Amino acid sequence: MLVAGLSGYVIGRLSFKVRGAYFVIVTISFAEVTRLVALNWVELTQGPLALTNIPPYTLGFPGLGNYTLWNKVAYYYLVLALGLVAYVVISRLVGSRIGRAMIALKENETLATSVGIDVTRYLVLAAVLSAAMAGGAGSLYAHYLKIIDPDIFLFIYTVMMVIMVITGGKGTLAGPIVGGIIFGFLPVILRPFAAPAVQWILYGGLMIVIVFMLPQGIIPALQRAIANWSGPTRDRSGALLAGSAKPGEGQ
Amino acid sequence: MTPTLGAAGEVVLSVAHVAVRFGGLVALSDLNFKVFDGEIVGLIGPNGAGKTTAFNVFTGFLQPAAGEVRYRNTLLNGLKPHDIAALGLVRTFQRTSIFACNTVFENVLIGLHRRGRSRLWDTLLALPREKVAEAELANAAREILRVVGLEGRAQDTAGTLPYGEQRLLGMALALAAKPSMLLLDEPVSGMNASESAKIMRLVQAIRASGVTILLVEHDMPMVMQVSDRIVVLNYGRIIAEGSPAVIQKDPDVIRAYLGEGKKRA
Repeated sequence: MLVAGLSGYVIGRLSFKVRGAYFVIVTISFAEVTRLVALNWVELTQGPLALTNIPPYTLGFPGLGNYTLWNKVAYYYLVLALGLVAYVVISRLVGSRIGRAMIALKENETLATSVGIDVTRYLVLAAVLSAAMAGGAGSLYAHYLKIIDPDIFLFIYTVMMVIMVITGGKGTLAGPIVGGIIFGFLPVILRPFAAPAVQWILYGGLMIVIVFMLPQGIIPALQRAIANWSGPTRDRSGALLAGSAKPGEGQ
Repeated sequence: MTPTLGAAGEVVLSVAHVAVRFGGLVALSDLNFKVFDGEIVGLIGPNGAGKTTAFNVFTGFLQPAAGEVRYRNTLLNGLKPHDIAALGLVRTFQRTSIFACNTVFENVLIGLHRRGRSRLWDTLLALPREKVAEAELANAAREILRVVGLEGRAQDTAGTLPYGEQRLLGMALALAAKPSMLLLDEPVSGMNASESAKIMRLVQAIRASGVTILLVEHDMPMVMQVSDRIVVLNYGRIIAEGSPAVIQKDPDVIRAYLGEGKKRA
């Protein structure tokens, strides 16, 4: 996790010199370099044979001894707990001064810097936090499967996460969770019927359908539906309900 | 040209030999002027004269090809916009510039960024001092909304406000950044008479609170009424400088800027 956060810092510093599509290209290139290293640096990673001797996760409880996670249920709760921690961290962040600075940068970078928000600093911070979280998830994954295969660095997995966020609704807290549930279960449901390549086509098709019908994603569309259903009335503080939908962040 | 009104004598903004070129086009050439503490200076000139370019140079959005800009003796060349804002030199924008998807209150909170002190760990661990800091910011935000007269709009989404109020919110954002000098880029453009009058009163109130103001504006009656001193730009150079009364009679200005006749002067 620390290593991931650190590389988030390095990549952030380097690649926030460019914006938009160029930024995407730089980060994708980095993922691709990682895959090639994993595939070819045989002394470190055993190349295509994969790293196989990864021990299962051992939790140390002070005074209680160690507990080694052998079964799936235990892993389920560990992952769930860490997922919750990640959610709490992000939701605290969004409502804070730091989160506001990030939202400001997303909405209007010029205006944000004009009131004294340091663009690079907050973009890098965002990269570090998300890289650290992804790193945490990655290490859990490795301990769970007990194998690290270079295939895990394939482009499709990177894209998959982006698809989860976009369909769920970027800029919302619940969006990535909903997207994650949909695209996490889909492979399991589809596995008996479809080959991996066919699955990928289906994901792409599903994403296109969702993006066309709900361009902002599932969660913002739901929020709007609820607001319309309860009528565009003003609540007591005078806020338009339709407009008071959570201006979340956390892409 | 010595400043007439309200000048305490100390130079806050000094612009020396500043030039900006876009390719072959000279946007500013050899720009020299000073703004003194507590003044309201109007920067006027026909469209394309270089006024907004000058603002962009002073606030770090553009780097000059030559010359130097100093704010309270700090050289601004090479500094980023957020560094310059941190020195207390804050601008507004010509086109409406607000965070349209957020509420009016959240907009001002974003503007208060520089006054916040909370760090990452305070936030993540929900330390008590985070709560205190957030409460302070909320109070400051309410105070600023009161000053600009938007307190009744606090919970409205900024993008739904009428134009005049969006411009007011733009000024509230700049004020939130705690300026010691404010650069206003056409604060009353597109406004009706009563909205302009409101802005003018606000500008004077801001100056009365000790903030120096440099103002770009096309609305001649407003500039003449509110400014202590006026600097006239044309084709990237200063063609006249002086009190409103002097500027209104300056033949160069009348020819270059006010155009045919004297209908607005």
